[in-house]
Amino acid sequence: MLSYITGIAYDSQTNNLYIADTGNNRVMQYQYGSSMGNVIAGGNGYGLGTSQLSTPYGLYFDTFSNSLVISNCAMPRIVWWRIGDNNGTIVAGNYSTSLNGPFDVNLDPMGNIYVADTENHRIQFFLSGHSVGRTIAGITGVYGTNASVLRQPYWVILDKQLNLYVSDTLNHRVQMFKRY
Amino acid sequence: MGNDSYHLYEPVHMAFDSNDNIYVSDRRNSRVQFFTRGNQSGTTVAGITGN
Repeated sequence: MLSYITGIAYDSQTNNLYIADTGNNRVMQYQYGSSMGNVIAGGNGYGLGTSQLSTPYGLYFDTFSNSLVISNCAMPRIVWWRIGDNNGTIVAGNYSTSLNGPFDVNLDPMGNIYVADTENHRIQFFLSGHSVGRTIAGITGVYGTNASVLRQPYWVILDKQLNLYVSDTLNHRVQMFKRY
Repeated sequence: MGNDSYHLYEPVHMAFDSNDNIYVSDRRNSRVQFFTRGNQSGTTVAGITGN
């Protein structure tokens, strides 16, 4: 049984579907045409262990590394989980880069990571391979309605020119941030 | 809102395949609905429908 699902991702090469089964602290894989899913990440209870996820909300499928990048909302960190592995690796959200209730994660084609750091009212950017992020939209801990701030941004996506679109949820609007 | 093929209950996220068909995570129905492009009637591809 799925429980309180949130993010989904589609791998257009294999036609596999990935579902953040948030209430069960796991990510499921559904192969094309199959109504039965497989646990592909987590599923070992709620916690901080490398084999565990904690309320996974957003997820991104990375074709190049055949991995999922997963935002854990309650234990605020971003985990990289290669398909077939039993454990994930933390790529963002340790103490030096503290996130607060990150809802969504997305990557650009260079492997840089964008996190909707929801409870901090900001978007954090992590260069590929770096675990220290910087704020590229919003102001840490500050919310409001003018163009420079956000209020609980839930989702973040990019277009092909790497412009950023943020669902600025508690402001009931979508904000666009141009790359250049 | 509802749980038949034409309704959703708290849709929270979407994904697209290469033909622009849509997958919707239909949270309160604990299912993922698949809509072929232009079709308003979905089919359940994950989870259990009708509960």
